[in-house]
Amino acid sequence: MSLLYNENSKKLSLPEERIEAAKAAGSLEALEINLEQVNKLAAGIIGESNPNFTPQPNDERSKMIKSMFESGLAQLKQQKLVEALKNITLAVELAQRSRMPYEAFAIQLQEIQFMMRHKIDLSLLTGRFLDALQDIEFLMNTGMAQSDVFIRKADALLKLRQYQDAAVCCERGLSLFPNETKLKALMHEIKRNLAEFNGEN
Amino acid sequence: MALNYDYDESSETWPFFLLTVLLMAVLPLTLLQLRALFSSDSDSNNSSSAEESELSSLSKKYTPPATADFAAKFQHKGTSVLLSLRSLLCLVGWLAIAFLVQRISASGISGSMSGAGAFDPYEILGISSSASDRDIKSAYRKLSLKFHPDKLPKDLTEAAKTAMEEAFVQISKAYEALTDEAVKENYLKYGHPDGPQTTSHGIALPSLLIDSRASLVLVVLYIASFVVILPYFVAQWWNRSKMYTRGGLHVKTAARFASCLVNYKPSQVVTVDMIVHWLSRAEEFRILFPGHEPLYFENLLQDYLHGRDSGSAKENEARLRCVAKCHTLLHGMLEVCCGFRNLEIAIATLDTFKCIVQGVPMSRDAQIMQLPNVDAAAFHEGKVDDICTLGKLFTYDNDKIGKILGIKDADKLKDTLDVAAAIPHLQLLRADFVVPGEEYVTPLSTPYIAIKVLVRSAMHRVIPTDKFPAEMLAEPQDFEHMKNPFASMEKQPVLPTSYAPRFPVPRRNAWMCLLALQKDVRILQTPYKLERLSLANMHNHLDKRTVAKLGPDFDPHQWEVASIRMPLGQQAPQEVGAVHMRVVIKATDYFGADLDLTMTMDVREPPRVDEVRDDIYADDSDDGDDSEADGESDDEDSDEEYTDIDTDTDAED
Repeated sequence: MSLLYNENSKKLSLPEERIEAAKAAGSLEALEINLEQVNKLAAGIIGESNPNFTPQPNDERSKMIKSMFESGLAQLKQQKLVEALKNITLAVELAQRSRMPYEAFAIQLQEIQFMMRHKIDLSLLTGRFLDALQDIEFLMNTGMAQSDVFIRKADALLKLRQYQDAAVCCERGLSLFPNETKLKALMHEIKRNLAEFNGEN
Repeated sequence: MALNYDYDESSETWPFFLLTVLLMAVLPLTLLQLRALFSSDSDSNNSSSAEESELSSLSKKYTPPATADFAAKFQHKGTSVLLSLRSLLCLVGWLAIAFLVQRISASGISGSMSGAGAFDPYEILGISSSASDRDIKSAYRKLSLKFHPDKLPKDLTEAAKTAMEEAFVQISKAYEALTDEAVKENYLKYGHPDGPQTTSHGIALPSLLIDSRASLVLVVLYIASFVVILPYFVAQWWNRSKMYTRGGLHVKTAARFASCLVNYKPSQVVTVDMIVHWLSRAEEFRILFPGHEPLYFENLLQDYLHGRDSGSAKENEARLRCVAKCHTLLHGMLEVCCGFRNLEIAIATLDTFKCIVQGVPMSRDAQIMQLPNVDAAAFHEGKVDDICTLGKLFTYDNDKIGKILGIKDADKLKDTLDVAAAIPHLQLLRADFVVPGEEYVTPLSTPYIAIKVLVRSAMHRVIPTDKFPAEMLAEPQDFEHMKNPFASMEKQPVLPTSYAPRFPVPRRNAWMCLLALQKDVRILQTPYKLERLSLANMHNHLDKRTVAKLGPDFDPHQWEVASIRMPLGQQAPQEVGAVHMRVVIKATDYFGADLDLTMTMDVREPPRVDEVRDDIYADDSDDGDDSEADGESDDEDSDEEYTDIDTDTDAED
């Protein structure tokens, strides 16, 4: 297997015939992802001027992200929900794009989780339930299993009229947090809707 | 013992040899064929019995002609036991046996052979075997008077004379064999008064094969059979047994499915399309149609799901063959998912199963789309209410349903309603973790899952659980049941053939029961396949449109409460507390027939009987120490996660 190395961009790429072969074998996507990861990591390290760097989050970027996020919060206070959502989304994207992969992950994770929760709330408030659902899934995949996440997910599913999934989510939430009254109320609501949906009343 | 081997010079014995070899092959083959014949008979009896629901006849009615042709073509191959190659072989074998038997009896070899070595002194003396010494003596005297060489008439020919002399020798031998001790011992030991007789050992090959030129061919054949043919067949068998997993999945397919799951990114949305994409990489498809890429098979499957034409008649047939293969592939995929403990993908796999069986794409209103005669365009256009389920559909009267589904013909509407009403739905009544002989789950006990469901039609009014008396929902407490709680499941009738007109092979529905922990939504054990369930309730009359409310005249005993008992692959945890599990029961064939519930295993300490035990076993202080020591060592183990999967458990058996 051969790869092409571009000396100017310092990036690896697949030669033409490899692309064809990989396409035929159905493994092109995986290869491209691998290459992209290698390139991103390489670019991050090449761009680092300090040879003895410690992988701390870049202050400048942290500042940028933070200011973007805070401007979103400021707009939220002025009840400009759509703008607030836009800014927070930008902040999340900025964090995803500009952070280098070797920067301390724990800090990055906390940062993104914090911003995501605000983004989800705003998405729900502005009625973008599908976006919210996607973000909640992401949040859950990062290991976030708190009762408010379940409440938001069940709520989003309920609004999307996916009653069966909402019931499943709510039941899981209740089995992890049996005393959560909001979840109980939500469960009641979902059951009522589900019975209506199945023509059982 | 003779050390030299004789060949069958006079062609006397090789027919015996050949007969034995032939019988060894033909007899088992014939028995197998007969069994196949009878089992296929009983199969056809089963399917033609009155038990078979009207669904299967409706399924046949709505089968597209191309699919019906395809099914007929492949079923014919399977069922004609009488006309197969094996039967022909049997027939040829029996003809050869008949010929050999005829040849042996005609040549009279058997008679001469059996008479050759036999020596019966009683017969020679002409007395019964129970004769006394006196009888023997008198018989001998009589015969020796007649045959003694000195007493022979003079006018006999030489030949007659020697025959008489030989007879006399025989008579004397017979007499000695019965009276003289030494000779008698010889006779009893070797069957002949003269002691051991010579026996000849030979090779039952006809002499023409031993001739100089033919012998070379024989040696070559002999060597070939050991060096080439035998290893070839062994290798074939070995390859075949190694090529497929226990579930009938090609090992390459299993490896590809596993690699799909390994490379699955959690950010990917799990959809039916993704599962179809994975399915298309199966080696089985490539074996059926070599030279095609996975994309080709994916397109075929997608065409089938969306009811599109795949191009040519040949491709449409290829598509049906691929679809028919999907049963094994999807079950295999499910196993792989359970191996990776991924519930989300396992559920999507079962959704794909329904889509493939019904030939309908996954959508919110798939429950409606699985019915026959539904005009999808009219249904989507005239949608007023949010009707996605059969239960909702049955809240309208029949004429309205016809309008909603865009069905104008009354007969067609009747068929559609029949199918909709006959799809079995499960209503949860009660679910428990049960430990046989215990009132509740104790630490480290072995519970099983008992789920009480009501099998009902979407047309039926929902019957609340409290309408059923407690004894109908309780687990039986008799000893037989406690010994094997799952035995009664086997007594349930097999589920009837499904309504699946687009699927090329007749199908029987099954419910796959998955069990996962709520903590991390990971599957705990291999799926349990439920294939037997009584559908007796489906014929009950409780139309929700006519019965507004369950009155006091409602009789719960007219309804059958079904039990689904599922073995749990592992023990209850050691710690006291609640473990939440999610049980997903999904039908393979119908949309809307599923059940998804959360069960809580409440582990409690067993009732304290320590004081009582101390009184009774006051002397057994050793035992007490042992149990304490055990307890300590167990505490160390308790750090292990309860989620450890027990892959040895074969819940399907």
